[in-house]
Amino acid sequence: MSQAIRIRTRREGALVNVQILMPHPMETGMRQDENGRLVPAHHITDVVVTLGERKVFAARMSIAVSRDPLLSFRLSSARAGQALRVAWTDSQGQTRNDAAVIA
Amino acid sequence: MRANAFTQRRRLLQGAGAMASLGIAALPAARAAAAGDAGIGVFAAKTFAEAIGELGGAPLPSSLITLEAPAIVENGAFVPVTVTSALPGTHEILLLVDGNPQPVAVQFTIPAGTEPFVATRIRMAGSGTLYAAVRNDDGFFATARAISVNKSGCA
Repeated sequence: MSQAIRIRTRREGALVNVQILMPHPMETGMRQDENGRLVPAHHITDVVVTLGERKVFAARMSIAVSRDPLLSFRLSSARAGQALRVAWTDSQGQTRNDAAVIA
Repeated sequence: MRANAFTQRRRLLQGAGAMASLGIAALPAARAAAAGDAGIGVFAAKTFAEAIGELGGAPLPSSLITLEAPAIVENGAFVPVTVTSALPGTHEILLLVDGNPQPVAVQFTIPAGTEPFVATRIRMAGSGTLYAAVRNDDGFFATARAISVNKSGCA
């Protein structure tokens, strides 16, 4: 079971700054465990962020995104009270989505 | 500041020249379009030249893209990167690392209503050149930064 996505929104003048932290091992497939065996690759491949019904941000990730991916971006057309939903899919087909309300 | 932008531009131009001499900039348009549609190809690329090919050719250097990242990184597992584009109509931002086993690190979609800005953290296998590339309606642009990495982010 994956851990909840942490979503923080902060108003900065006309913009809303969004910070997202997605707890995920982001295994590269190049790391060895304590017995010297390669740990298979396991990483987030897709992230989609929607505001209400509208897609406002998306990312496609390789193994080169750090463990527990952190994303920050700014919305110019977000109103207080709107729902911001973040959804990820990983290379093993697991998914997770969580939401926050725009501050 | 001006001299800095100039040397960065020169470095990029030299890179683009090297790519052109390999025949990468002259990729058939059909292949570039296919790569853009399917999108899978960019992450399958194992070398920087292959990645540029999958992306449809070398980006033009642009001083309108700001790439912030430390010049020296202790641990390549966490390289903080911030990209801001002043190119009008920016709808895609990519981070590429020349020197990583999979050079295309991440591809961001920036719809209208979202600022052309993104911050994240990436892995670098070792010292190399980080590129922030931007697509808008006018084409494909990039800016670069050399980064020295003390401990590999690949382990």
